[in-house]
Amino acid sequence: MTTADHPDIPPPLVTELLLLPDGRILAQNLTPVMAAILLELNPNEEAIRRRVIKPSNPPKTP
Amino acid sequence: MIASMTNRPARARTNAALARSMLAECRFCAHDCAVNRLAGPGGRCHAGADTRCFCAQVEVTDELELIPTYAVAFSGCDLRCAFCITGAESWDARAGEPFDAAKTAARVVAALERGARTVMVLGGEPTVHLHAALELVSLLPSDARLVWKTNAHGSGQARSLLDGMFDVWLADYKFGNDHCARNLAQIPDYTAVTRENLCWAASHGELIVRHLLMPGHLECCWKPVANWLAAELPGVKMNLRAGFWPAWQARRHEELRVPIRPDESEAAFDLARKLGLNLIP
Repeated sequence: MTTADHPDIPPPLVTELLLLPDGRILAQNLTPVMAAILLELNPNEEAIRRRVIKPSNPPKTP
Repeated sequence: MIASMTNRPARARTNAALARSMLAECRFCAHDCAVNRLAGPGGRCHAGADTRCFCAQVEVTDELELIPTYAVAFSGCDLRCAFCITGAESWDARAGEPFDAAKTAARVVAALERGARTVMVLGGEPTVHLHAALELVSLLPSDARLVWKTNAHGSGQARSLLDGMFDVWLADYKFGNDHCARNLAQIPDYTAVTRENLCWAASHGELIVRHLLMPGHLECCWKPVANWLAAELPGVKMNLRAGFWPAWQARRHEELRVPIRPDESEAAFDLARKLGLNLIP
């Protein structure tokens, strides 16, 4: 089923990750939920920490 | 110049209609194909008049001052960057789903009400779908903060239609010379076109320049980009990105088969600091 068949359904949410052998994680199209998950994996990663939405109800894709 | 956005929706509606008519002889990008896209795909971007969208969601990947953003990504692009992270969708204007401006606008408004700070229109390359992008703008609140994420390869015609439509231009400066641009993205005259677009954007609103560090391209690409920005656009916001990964067809180029090394990244940031570039996270 695609949104072309049902135009009221928004496109699927997508985040892409590349896990490098040295432990680095690169992310593309990072959603707020995925950012929170990545921060749990590596709480010291400043680049991710700054992208995690603080309020308890972060904006989601409608 | 963006003096007031109060009448932006009305002007966007007018410009969208103009842009759609201009598809009959498309000159939106610097390739200047002049093909009739109303009759079907024909130019370098292989896009017809119909617009498709491959991603529309709230994201936090971009510059901190722009996130969370509601990002709307149109399929198709006028460049052919071998390392394109969204190559399958950017090289194929038929990818994704048909774009519905009204439904997308409703989702954007809902995202803004839930806390999204900006709305980002991107691709592929959104210039290819200028008519659809402007149609979307015409349906958005005039006080929404709109970001035009572009490869900076648009034409003067495209710029005239975009004048006053977006609050921020988030523009790539990818290659430091025409040889690398030809070799990696099949673009002639890259440097002149990009610089013209960046200078225009800086004088017509807020500009953020992005450069993605490519392995093995610090001397030939990053260094000239950094030097030019320091000399010609001092103080412009600059986001230096070290997250290169060997996506799409990057493996066709030996030096692009690996991610950027930490020491390359450090050297690039050292140069930026030495030149006094206004780096933003």
